[in-house]
Amino acid sequence: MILPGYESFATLFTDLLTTSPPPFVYIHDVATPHITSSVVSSVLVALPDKPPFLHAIVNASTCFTARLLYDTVIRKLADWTPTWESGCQLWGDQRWNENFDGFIHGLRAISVERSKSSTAKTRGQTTQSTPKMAIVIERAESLKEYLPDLLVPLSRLAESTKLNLTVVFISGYPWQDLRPLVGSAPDPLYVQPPELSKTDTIQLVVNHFPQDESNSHNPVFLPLYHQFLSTLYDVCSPFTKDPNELAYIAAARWPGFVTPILDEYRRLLDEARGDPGDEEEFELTAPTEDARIRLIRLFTPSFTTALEALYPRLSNADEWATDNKPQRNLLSSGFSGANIIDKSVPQTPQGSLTDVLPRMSKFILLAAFLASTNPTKSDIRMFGRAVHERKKRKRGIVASARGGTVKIPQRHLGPIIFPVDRVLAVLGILLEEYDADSRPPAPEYKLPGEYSDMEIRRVSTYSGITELTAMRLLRRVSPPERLDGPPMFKCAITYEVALRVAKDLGVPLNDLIFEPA
Amino acid sequence: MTPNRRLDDLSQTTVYIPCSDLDKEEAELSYSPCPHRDIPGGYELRSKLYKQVWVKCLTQIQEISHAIHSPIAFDIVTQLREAYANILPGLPYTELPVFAVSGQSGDSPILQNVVAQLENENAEDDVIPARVAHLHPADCTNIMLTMKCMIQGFVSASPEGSTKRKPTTSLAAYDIELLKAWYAYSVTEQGDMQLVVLMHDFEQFEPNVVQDLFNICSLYVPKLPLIFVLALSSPPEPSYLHGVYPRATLALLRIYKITVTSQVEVVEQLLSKTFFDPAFDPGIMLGPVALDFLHDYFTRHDRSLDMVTTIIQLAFMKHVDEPLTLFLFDNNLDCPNEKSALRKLANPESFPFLEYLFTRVLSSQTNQQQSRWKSNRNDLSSLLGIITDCRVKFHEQCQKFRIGFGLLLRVRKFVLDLGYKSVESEEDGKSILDVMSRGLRGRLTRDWKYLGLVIKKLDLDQLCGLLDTLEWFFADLPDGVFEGEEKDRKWVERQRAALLGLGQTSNDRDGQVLKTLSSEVGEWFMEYSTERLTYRLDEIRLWDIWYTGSTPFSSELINPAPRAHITSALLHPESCAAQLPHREVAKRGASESDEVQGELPAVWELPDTSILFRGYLEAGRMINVFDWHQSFAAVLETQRQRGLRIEGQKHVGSPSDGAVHNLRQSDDDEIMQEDGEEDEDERWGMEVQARFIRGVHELDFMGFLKHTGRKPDHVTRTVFDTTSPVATTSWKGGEKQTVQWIEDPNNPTPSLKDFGPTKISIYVGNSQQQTLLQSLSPSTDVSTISELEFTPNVSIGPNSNVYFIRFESISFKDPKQPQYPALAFSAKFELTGMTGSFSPDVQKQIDAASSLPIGPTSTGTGLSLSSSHVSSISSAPPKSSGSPSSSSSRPSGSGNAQGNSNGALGLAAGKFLTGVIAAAVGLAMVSRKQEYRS
Repeated sequence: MILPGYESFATLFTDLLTTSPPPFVYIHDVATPHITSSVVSSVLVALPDKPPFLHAIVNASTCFTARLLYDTVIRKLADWTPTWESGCQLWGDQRWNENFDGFIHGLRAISVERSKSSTAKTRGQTTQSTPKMAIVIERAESLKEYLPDLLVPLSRLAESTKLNLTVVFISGYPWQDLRPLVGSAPDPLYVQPPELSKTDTIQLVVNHFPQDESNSHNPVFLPLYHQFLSTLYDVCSPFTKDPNELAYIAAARWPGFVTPILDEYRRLLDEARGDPGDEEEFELTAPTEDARIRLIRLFTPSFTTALEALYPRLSNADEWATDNKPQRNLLSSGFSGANIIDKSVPQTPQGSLTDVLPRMSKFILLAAFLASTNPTKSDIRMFGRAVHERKKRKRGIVASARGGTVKIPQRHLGPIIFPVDRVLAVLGILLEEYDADSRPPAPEYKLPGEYSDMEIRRVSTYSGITELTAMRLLRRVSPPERLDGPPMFKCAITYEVALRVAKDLGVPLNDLIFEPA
Repeated sequence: MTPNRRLDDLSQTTVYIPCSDLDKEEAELSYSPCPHRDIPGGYELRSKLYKQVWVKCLTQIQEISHAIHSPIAFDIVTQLREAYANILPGLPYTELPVFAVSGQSGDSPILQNVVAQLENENAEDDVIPARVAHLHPADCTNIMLTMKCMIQGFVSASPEGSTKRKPTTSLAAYDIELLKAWYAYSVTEQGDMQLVVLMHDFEQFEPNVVQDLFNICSLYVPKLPLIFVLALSSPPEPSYLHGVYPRATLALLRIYKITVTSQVEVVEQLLSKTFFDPAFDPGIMLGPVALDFLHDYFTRHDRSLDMVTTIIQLAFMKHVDEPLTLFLFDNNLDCPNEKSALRKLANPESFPFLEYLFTRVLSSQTNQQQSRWKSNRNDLSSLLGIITDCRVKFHEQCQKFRIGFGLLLRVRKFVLDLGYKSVESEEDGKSILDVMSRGLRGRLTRDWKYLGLVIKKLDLDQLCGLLDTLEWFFADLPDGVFEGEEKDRKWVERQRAALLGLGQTSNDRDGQVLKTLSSEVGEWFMEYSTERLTYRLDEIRLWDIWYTGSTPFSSELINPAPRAHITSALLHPESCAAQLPHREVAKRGASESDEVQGELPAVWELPDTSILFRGYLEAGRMINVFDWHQSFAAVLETQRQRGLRIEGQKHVGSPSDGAVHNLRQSDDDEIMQEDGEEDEDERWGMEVQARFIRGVHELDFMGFLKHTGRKPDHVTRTVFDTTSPVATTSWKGGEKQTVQWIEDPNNPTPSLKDFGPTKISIYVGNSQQQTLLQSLSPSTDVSTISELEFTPNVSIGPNSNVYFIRFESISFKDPKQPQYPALAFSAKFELTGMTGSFSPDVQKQIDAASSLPIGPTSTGTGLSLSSSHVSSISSAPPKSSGSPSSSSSRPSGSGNAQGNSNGALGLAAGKFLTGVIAAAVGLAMVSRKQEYRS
């Protein structure tokens, strides 16, 4: 079956392969390369059997070594399945995967093998048909990463094998990005599938609708599903038009969306049971136009929340569907409020950073955030403890109205790299100012500041830093094998997280940031 | 201790080299932390006891943690098994199920449990069996190795994995098709199974590799039922996965976040079931101090169960240092019976121990008993009888306490669940650990009084619930204990029956009967608690055998500060080494006047490395090795002179003095006997050089030095955050002091020669204005002489640390401002024993120094400090140099920690200024601190 929206592309591709296949085709699809791949594979499967047309569809991201690529292509062209019992033997009696030459020999061997078998069938006739071959490489951009040396040889494979062979690359990136700078790759036949229209996209998503007689995916609901998808498309299209993403969001929202109708149906069914004889009248039917409009109106706001949670995969579809069940009997209750979510479903608790980390690690994290946000030169102004230093503090830089370069706060520029000594120094100040009262008494430290000073030199402080680095809340920038000089770090938490940590510790974070929000 | 330790074996991460060059004498003696009151072999005996106790406790702890973790693991396993069932219909593609289990570092007990449950062969029939492959970050540096590890993890672990494959003409070992072939075969043989990939320390994996792994695996689901379990050490929020991996990868996964119960609850349960459970006797009871330390360390530094067990273990280990703990379980002292134990005690070698035991037992006796005891001192068996009595009493009391405490906790929980506030309402959220520590200190009176009051206010249902709880509590008690509590249990039962009767008849008008009942229960509870919880365990005689009590827990064992300790050991070797060799010499030299004793040693008395370290601290960022050597040689010269003098005295006074000679001293003797003066000098020079090199290498080895290729003969300092004694030098007014100077290697112009004859005086003031207080020398040629002896006049000012020495060249002018003479300054130092005072003008100048510090700000003025080349003023006063921690030393350390080594403060001060700035920052911190406190 040819997918909607791809009819012209499929015809073009079939014609290309059946008439005179070009040696090298490049299909560039920015938006939906995975769908194009499936179209190409369905075209290849549907090609006529005579003359024999061998094809191999290989995902380049699985072929991280040349051997894997050769093995996979030959295995698929020869339609060979290695079995465990036979020791996972590959096709043929020779080794084809040693180098590119071996691979070419392997391809020829397949061709010879196939032509033999096909001539055997048509012995009565004199014509011997060499099989045509197509090697489709999906996600061809991975080749550039793993096997850059093979790009040119693959594009000239027809020349080197002297076979009737087509190599098809499918990728979301243009050929210019992949083409090696040196070496002569031939220009491919460049094909770009058409962009999907709204109707096509919706039709593609509808194809995923599992039609079964069970309640929520009853075929009765198909028209409603169309309407549902149309609204969903309108909400999501500014952000994504990928049919797979839309199908994902639809799969999460649909069960909740139809629940009110099913509730209503069950209610009617229950009523009918009380009234014998009427049972047959209540079959599950598509809802009335009025009910549809009401449903869509009630649920549209939740489409946005679904998009926000599911598109970045903050939650998975299954969990989201459970967490966002609508209230019971939504339709009959005449509810028209904004929040349709059933609050009785317990939300899954989330262990936050502030609950998990020990107190010292929180201070270290905060000190690291400050060291990554404040310019190094501001430290003495921000943290200097002399009376005079406080007055000199300058708060932020006010952008002048008269043009010029506007200084962007460091928070928006990403974290600064700092040496471990700097974070320890900031930590010392934070401990002295905000932690002194909660520490267990230590009468051996008599001088002011001595306690904090000792605290930041302790093993647990260093192991705290290492642990935070292991959690990737801090990033170590300098290589661990370098012994010379202090290790360099940067902080990997956001301003919001830092604010939460600071609130938990009772530290006024905004007072300590050089350029507060 | 294997004889052939393979030191060149690369696969060994750690090699244990036993200390073999111990003195034989020392090795034969048995170790004892308190030898003056121990029996022979006592420590080994107690170690055995410790092991016994610890193994018992550890088993208990492990059982408890297993009991806590099993249900969580079971939950995870249940979810894992359903990963491919109940998939939401309508999804465009099958997602790869990924279980992100947070808070799992290293070999987490929960995941171990999960694996054990998954691989359990005897699982029920309806459960799909699972195979587990483990991936560790160290093995998975690239995608090929990762795939290989994963595939081999499944294939080789199975019995079918032995099929022979030809390496070249069969599927590659890292080809996922191999896994597919194996799976297809296994399914036909054994039926369905799940493939679980457990990724340990997930954060340590290279994200690119993991992306590829997920990419490849997602193409094969659901044909290969792969499930990934990620052990994350990071918290679930903010999510590591979402922070690091791109959306394209996340879209392939169905991520289940699993948060494990907070460690706090686990530790609370663990402690209450080990030390506060009537059913378990830990052998040694943990005291409130150790408990407090544990609590603090747990919340502040390390939230791991391992740390908790380590702390308990250390507390136990430390506890058996006490010789009396030999009587922990019985009085047999590792002998077959008490009789032989008595013989052991009667052994003369055991007398110190016995003496101590007598003292301890006697001190807690009444006078009458004491006299009886003294008359019958040899009756050892009755002494042991007393110990047995104490042991029984302690355990009884301990058990009583545990029951009382357990009941209190139950009631507390019941009341808190009803929505009442806890008694410590102002510190809400305080954990049970806190209650435990207060309980051991006997400070729970407020708690039970409060709970008693709450009980009196309960209504019928609530009271019923409470009595149910109490009944369960008594029913849960172990058999031996249960009988002891029979009376109270019956009372509770009666009350409950009465209450039930009341509930059924409901003829209680105005609730009077209920009121009486509830107040009776309240009173009973208070009485019960008073009886059990007011008595402190350390009031029992000889409690310290079974109870760690309020013995301080040494946090240095767990959480030391090595860098600070090394620095302080270098600065004050006298507090670390048993004795300083030269100190001995000084003592002998000063035997006629005992002045030296109790005072800090002078620089020349210190070991070589410490002398070098002093020089190190006085230097700038770079140290000129030659200058360093010179200053070292100068100190050694003093050492030699003193040594010679004392030796001379010794030879005259007591030729047969048998005091311990140190090697160098005997070298000196030899040198003295040498005839040729030149020869001697040459030998001395060689020795100085050798000792210098050795000292420098020692510092280098400890990481204090960094070699630099930029400047010849220089090394770079690596440690800056220690206070230079220069800034905190403290001199006593009225006594003879020495000031020394050397050329600044970083700033060779103008040279000392240029400076020529110089006026040297003590000044105070700021960078702009200074006041002369005392002239030390009207004209000294600094290029020919390098030190000056002087006596600070006690009347020039008060005790203060604002004094400095000014060098003013008589003939040479400042090259930048020729109208002024060239100047150089010392760091500020402290003078003590002063009697004078500053005039208001002078005080004003000093006060201004904080805003006009002598330092970089003054470079533009006439008093250019950058021209200072009389750089380092090291003090070598005979008796009072290098005060260990004068008031600004510590804070200035921390002040410098902010700045020097990292540029946060941006100190560009030379050698000469470091001390001054350090002092200024220190002062600033002091004043700020005071402000903060007030």
